Amino acid sequence: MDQPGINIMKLDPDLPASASPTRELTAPPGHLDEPDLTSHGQWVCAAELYPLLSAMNALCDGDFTVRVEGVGEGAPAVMAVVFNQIAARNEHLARELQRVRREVVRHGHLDERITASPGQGGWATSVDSANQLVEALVSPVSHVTRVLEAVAGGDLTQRVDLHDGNRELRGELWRLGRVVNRMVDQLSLFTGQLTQVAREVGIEGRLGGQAEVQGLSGDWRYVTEAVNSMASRLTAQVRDIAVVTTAVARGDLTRQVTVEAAGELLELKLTVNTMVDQLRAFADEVTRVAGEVGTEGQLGGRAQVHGVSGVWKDLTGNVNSMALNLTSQVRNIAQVTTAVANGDLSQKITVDARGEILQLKSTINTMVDRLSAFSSEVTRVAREVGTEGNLGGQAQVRGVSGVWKDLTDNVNSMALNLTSQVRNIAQVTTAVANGNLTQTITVDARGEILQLKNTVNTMVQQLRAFADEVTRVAREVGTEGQLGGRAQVHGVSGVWKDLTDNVNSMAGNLTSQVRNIAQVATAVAQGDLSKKIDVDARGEILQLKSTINTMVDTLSSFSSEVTRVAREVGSEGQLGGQARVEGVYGTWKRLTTSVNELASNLTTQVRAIAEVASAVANGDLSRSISVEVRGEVAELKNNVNLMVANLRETTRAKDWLESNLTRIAALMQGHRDLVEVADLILSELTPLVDAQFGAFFLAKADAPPGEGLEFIAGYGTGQDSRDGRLPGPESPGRGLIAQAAVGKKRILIEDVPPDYFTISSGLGGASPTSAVILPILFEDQALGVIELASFSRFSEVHLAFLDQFVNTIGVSINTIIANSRTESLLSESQRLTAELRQRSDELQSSNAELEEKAALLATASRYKSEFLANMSHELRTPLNSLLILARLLADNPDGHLSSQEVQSAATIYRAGSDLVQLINDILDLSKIEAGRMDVHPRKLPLTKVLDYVQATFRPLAIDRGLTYEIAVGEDVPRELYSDEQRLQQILRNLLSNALKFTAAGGVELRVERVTGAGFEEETLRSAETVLAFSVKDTGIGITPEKLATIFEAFQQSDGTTSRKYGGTGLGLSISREIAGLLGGRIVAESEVGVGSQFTLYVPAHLPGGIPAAQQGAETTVPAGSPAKAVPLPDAAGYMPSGVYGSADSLVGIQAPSIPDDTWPGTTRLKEWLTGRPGRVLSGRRILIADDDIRNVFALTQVLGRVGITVRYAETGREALEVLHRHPDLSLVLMDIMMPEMDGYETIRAIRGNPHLAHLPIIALTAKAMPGDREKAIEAGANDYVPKPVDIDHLLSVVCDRLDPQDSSPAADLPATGKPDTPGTRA
Amino acid sequence: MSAAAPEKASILIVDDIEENLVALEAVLGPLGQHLVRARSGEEALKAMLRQDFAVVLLDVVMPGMDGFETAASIKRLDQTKDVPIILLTGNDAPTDYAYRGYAVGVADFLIKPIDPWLLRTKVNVFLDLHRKNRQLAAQAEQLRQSVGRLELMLREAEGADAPGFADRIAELERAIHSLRTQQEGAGRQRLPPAALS
Repeated sequence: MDQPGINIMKLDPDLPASASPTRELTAPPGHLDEPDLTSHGQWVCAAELYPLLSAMNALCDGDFTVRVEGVGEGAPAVMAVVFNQIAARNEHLARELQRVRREVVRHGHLDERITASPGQGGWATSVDSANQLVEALVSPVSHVTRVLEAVAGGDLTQRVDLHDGNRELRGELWRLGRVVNRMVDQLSLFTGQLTQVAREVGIEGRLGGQAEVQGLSGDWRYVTEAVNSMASRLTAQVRDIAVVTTAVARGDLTRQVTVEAAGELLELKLTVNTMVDQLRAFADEVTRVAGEVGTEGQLGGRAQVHGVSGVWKDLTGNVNSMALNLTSQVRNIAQVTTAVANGDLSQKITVDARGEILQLKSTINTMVDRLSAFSSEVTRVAREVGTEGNLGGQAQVRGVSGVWKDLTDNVNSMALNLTSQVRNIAQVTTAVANGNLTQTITVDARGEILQLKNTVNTMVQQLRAFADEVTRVAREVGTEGQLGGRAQVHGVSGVWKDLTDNVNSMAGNLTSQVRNIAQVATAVAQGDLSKKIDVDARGEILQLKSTINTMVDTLSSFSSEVTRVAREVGSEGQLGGQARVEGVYGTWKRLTTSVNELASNLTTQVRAIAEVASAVANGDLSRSISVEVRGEVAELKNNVNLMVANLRETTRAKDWLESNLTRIAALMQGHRDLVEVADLILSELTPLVDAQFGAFFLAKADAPPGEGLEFIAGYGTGQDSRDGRLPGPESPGRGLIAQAAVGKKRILIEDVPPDYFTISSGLGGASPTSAVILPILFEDQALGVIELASFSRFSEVHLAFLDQFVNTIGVSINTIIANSRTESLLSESQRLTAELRQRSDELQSSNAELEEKAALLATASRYKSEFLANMSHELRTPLNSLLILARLLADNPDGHLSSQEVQSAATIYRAGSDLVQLINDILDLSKIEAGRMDVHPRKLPLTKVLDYVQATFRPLAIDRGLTYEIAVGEDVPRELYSDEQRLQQILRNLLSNALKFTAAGGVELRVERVTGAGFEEETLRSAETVLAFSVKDTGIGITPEKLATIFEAFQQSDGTTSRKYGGTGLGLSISREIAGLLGGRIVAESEVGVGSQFTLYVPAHLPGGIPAAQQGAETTVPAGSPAKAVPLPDAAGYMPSGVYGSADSLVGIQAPSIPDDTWPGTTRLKEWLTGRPGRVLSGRRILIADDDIRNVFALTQVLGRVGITVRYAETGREALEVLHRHPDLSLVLMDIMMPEMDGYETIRAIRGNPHLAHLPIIALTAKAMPGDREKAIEAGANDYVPKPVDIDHLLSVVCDRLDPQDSSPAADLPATGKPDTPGTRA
Repeated sequence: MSAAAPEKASILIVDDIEENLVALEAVLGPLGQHLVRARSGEEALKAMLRQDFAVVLLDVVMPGMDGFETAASIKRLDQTKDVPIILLTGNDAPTDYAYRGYAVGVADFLIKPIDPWLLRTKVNVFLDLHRKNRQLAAQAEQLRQSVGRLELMLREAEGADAPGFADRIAELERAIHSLRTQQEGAGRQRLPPAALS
């Protein structure tokens, strides 16, 4: 309601009243309707109101300075006062506003406020509002100002508070605050980055720091980047310079600063490079000089460095002066040392030198002094010792030390050594000269002196050896007479050799002469008179030689004469020879006469003896020697005569004996009959030995000695048999006969008593005088006895004959006996051989027949077994389903069937079961008969077997109301080693039989341990433990006749019982066979009407490998190897290297027992799972149309691994259906060879569908025929992969077809002729 | 045999003899599941690729691909290897058949003639297993979806309490993982042969 715009005007009478006639009317009634106005009311004249009105007009026009004054009284005065107040308040307000504006705008005093209005109400509110407005505007600004002040002061942490009190700023102010804050943020970030870079680069020296520009924008970014580029450039430059200076610091002067730079850095760079160049030049020069002076020794070199100044110049100068100094010094030193080396010790180093060189100089000078002193001293000693021969001189060098002292000492010791050596040699030679050869030089010496010493010593030794040798030879030859000795002096020469040779030749001459003489004497002594002394000799020796030679000649002629006579008489037998020796006398002549006499005597006697001897030799034994002789020759004569007489006698008896022996032996030959031979012997022998009675007794074969002697032949025995003395054929033994046989010795009875027995003839009889009993022996065994009796005595010759003849008889008899025995054996064996041959022929023929039959049987048996096996399988196969169905019917689960029908079904089931059982039994039996029943023994607890039979048969027994007991003996082993199945089978059979045939009572199974000794079976006898499982029942029993046959196949105790009791009758025979396989047997006992007992005996431990389980029956069949390995078609033939990866790499987690050999895989599964193939292939669905399910499985497996889901169609038609049903398929793998609708046709059909026209199709075909590809492409396939499929190839093709943008296909994929636009149907 | 089984499971019966298939169908019919016949190993494999099976009954003696080979192929393929297999064989089978069967990885080995009740019981065990696997799979799928949703929500709500959500998601992922391992465990589980024979 305020109207501040209304001006308060002074009443101005000049103003036309009509100026605002309406205003009067429109004057605010509120103010005019004051109640006190009413008191003045009506008399206020208009003139009085004019100033008020004009003031009001002025007020209204905005002049707040106007006041109304001088208005009279009453209401107009009051109005004027009010008006003035209004104007004043307005003016105050306006002035305050102006002031505040001025303060704020002009002076920036933002804390200025409008002072309180004198008015109230609206005025106060207006002022407050205005102040608040200012406040609201100012406070953010002051915030901003504060922040900016802080920023200006470098404090970037301050932020504008976007809240004013509790209230959040809004609108422009909020934006202002935010903008400032963002600016500060950026600044902060920027400065932070810059600071960091600056700190890193500038302070810490970490070059390469970069300011982060993230979050910066606009100029900040440019600035930061500029800083970064500056920092990086600086970094590069500084680094490069640093690299170069580092290299320089390390001595590498080859580097140059190469970095780009400008301005000061460029200068720096150039300076550094120049520095490096100069340094290099300087270093090169210095190096060259140092190398020349130091290494190569070329003194005088100077460093030439151009363009250097300052320190470098000084340095160069120094180096040069150093080199110069060094050169002069070294040259001086070299000069002196050269002089020293050349033996001139007078030179001294004169050059100026300092430091070490000075030391060197003085040292060399001292050295030269010393050398000089030393050499003069040594020279003196050498002269004294060497030239003047004053041994014992010593060098005296004062003030030397070290090597010089050693050298002096050495010279002295040399002089000393020489002295002692020369003295020693002199001593020895003196001794030799005096004839004393025992001395040797003992002094130590070396070199030439040593040679001299050795030579002297050798000389002394040789002299000694020579003297010894000569002494030895002289002693041997002269004293001991050992001729032939020679002086052996080795290694001597010259005079010594001549001397030795002379001594030796002397000794040799003497020796040969003496030896020759000795030889001749020895020859004469040994009887060789042919030798003469022929050695050259002189003097006495010559006289000795001729004497000896004469003696030898005389002896020689005498001995040759005597020898001749002796040879003629003694050796050649020319008796009568006489020795004639001419010119001998004395002893030699007497000797010759004696020899001649001896020869003539001998001749007569020997001729007489020779005559007799030759007569004897000619068989004339009648002569005797008659010449008169004496002594030994007389004895000889008598002996010869006696000998001749004896010879005469002996020869006669021997002749007789031998001729008779030979004769009778010849007679006996060729006889085979003993009696004949005995007769022959007696008839010849008896008269031969002048016997008149003979008997021959033959010992029986194999009779003990002395017994069984049988009379087989006699001589003169037929005369008188009455007395019965002669032994009959059966007489055991007879006194002396037996004794002779036992004693194996001849018994001779002389002077037989008169009544011993009589030898009679037709005229009379008389007792014999003597009897002889001869045992016939062969190999110390008496074959028989011969008794002979004679009226006269048996002569020695006869007895000797008998003794010899008995041996002959023994041999003959034995031969005859042996012959006859051999003959009988031979004939017997011949007979037997014939018989055998006959038998063998028979056997052979029957054997052949048997073999034939056996072969037939084996074939038949195999046929039978095979037939049975096949038949039973064939029979069982339909039965299996029949049984199930019958069982289902009998169960009648739905209750459809009547009880009759259920009964029928049950019957069918039961009969079928029986039939199956029968078939099983037959099969078992045929297996056993064919030897194909396997036994698999293993450890088997007895309780397991018993539990089984308990569980199986107890319910049956209870059903039938029978008792059923199982008893186990105490010592039964708890564990068996046997075939559980087979054992159960036997027990099952026995127990079910027992139950079947028992109507009342019970069945008992008893397990006991028995001894295995009494069994026939080897397995039972040798078993450690034998178990007996006895099944005993109280059933109908079996008759004894039947009991024998119940184990035969198809037998029951009664043919009729089968009707009553059922069963096949095979059970027992199977059980018996199996018991045999288990190494045991079954024994049955029974009594009709009482019961039966079947006992199974088995070894507790089945010996290993009993019926040698058919090859490999025990071996485990390779786990899970499918019946046939089924390779993909031609998989073996198509194996490009590196194409088929090991299947394990893909399907490695498969059970290891499953061989993975037939499914192809990829070696690069990882590659197909990652990258582009991973993106493209994973999650795809594709269709495989192929009727080869193995291939499909293999592909499905591999594709599944890379994330592709496979749908399957067996035929082309199905493929179409599947494609129709599943529009999400993105590719088709189409086998070409499919039945019904082949691949080409199917592809064409797919292409015929507009929805599927662009579906990628890859054709697969088993035969990589040349035309296949074209045919497939022509039919509409996009690509073609040959079978067997190379997975990697297939995957790359699939990948390219599914993602054609990236056309970097496998290299082996040439672009297809028909460009397709396969739509990617994701 | 929960009455609330809404879906039928499939059982694959494989035999080359018609009668046996009839018998198996008669035995397994009362289970009320979908029975699929295969007359050979190849056919069985094809059927395996076309659909899921709770259990496979596989005759050993077949012309061509026999039971062992078929079972081995099924056990080798990743997508079919968890399907339990019961081998069926005549009673004159060599003793190593059972061993070979178990080595290939079959769950059970039954000798004909088969007791219908026994077979039905065994098959039922595998059906239960299959059902539970499917339930687990369904639950896992649900969880996966809800995790996906949560992730989506989390992404959209910027600046919200992310750690809390992340924790919850991690928890969920753990739960899914444990479910999955359970499922796999259940899939691998084979009934010990001794317990069934």
